[in-house]
Amino acid sequence: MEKSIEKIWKEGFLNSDALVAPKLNDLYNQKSKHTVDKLMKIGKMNLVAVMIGAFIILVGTIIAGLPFTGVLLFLLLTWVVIYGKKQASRIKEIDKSLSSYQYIKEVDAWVKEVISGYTRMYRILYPAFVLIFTFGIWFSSYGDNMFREILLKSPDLFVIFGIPAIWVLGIVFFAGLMSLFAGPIYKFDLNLVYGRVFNKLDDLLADMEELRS
Amino acid sequence: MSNDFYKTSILPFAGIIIKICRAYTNTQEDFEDYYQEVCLQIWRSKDNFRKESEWSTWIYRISLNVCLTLLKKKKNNDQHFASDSLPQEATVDNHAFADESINQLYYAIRQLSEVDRAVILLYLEEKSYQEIADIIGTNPNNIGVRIKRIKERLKKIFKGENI
Repeated sequence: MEKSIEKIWKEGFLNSDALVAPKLNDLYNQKSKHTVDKLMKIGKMNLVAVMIGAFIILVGTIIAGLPFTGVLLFLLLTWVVIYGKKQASRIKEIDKSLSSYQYIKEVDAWVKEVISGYTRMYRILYPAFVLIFTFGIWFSSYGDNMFREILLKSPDLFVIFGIPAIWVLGIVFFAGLMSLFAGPIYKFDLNLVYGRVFNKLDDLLADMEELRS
Repeated sequence: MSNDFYKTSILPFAGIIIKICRAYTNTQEDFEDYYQEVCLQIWRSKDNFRKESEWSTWIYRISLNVCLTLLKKKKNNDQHFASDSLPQEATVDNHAFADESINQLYYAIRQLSEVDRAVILLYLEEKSYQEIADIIGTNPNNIGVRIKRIKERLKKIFKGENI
């Protein structure tokens, strides 16, 4: 060997034509598929986690002696899962023979629709969680004992169903706030779970639009 | 991958990807597939880049990982469909570059084991022993000896090929 391998390597790439990047084919199809697969995978995991959480709450509340509260919370969370599963089955109906741009556009529209549906749902769910959980505890033996002591100390308090009215108003006000801010709260929660994949979806769509223009 | 991301974060480093993919592929078709897969993987994992190393080091790492994974897959497939695979000689692309010496060097590099190929490519790219060790996930103390052994092996291959 006359030249050292180091020399061959250096000289071999001196000519700029030596390293021409090949054209990328079908990359957007692959990226679309990857992004949607990832979105569905996270969605599935999320629904499984909610269902597991629902069972844990049910068992926990039954053990704590609050079965009625547990069943109601379980039903609410089951509603979340059923709605999610229904929406997930809709994405499978999107025609995969569409161009990757149209396909990803349809997926994006589906995502926006699901988010809007969940936001409406959480306007009811968030306050319902707060009210069921709080009233569940207040109407249990723990709440009875607590309010008995409070009323013994302040017998002049105005009460509704044995609970100081100010407490009832406070929790109703808080539940109202939860309903009012359901959108931003849900969005925050959504970003924690799906933030990255949504960003990828936006990037992909922006990119495809840029290429089309 | 945004078009911008490809232009600004991958294309300036395309040389790295090309050099690595060439060492793990025998045909232009395979090379283009590997190149594409590396680009896709860089885009997929861009959020995992923690800036603890240079972006180029990250690209080396991903390129090597992707090539090694694809090669492993290909080997498994070839085992399953041994009767369908073409004879190696019929598909080898030894004219990927205009410079004949570099084609011959690549031919020799392809005779090495997968990891040795990675080590020598990084050495030729003037990476330090520590960087080579970091990228391939090994002890830096052994790198020098390993490179020496690989270079001897390459010399033998060159001699055997009458270069």
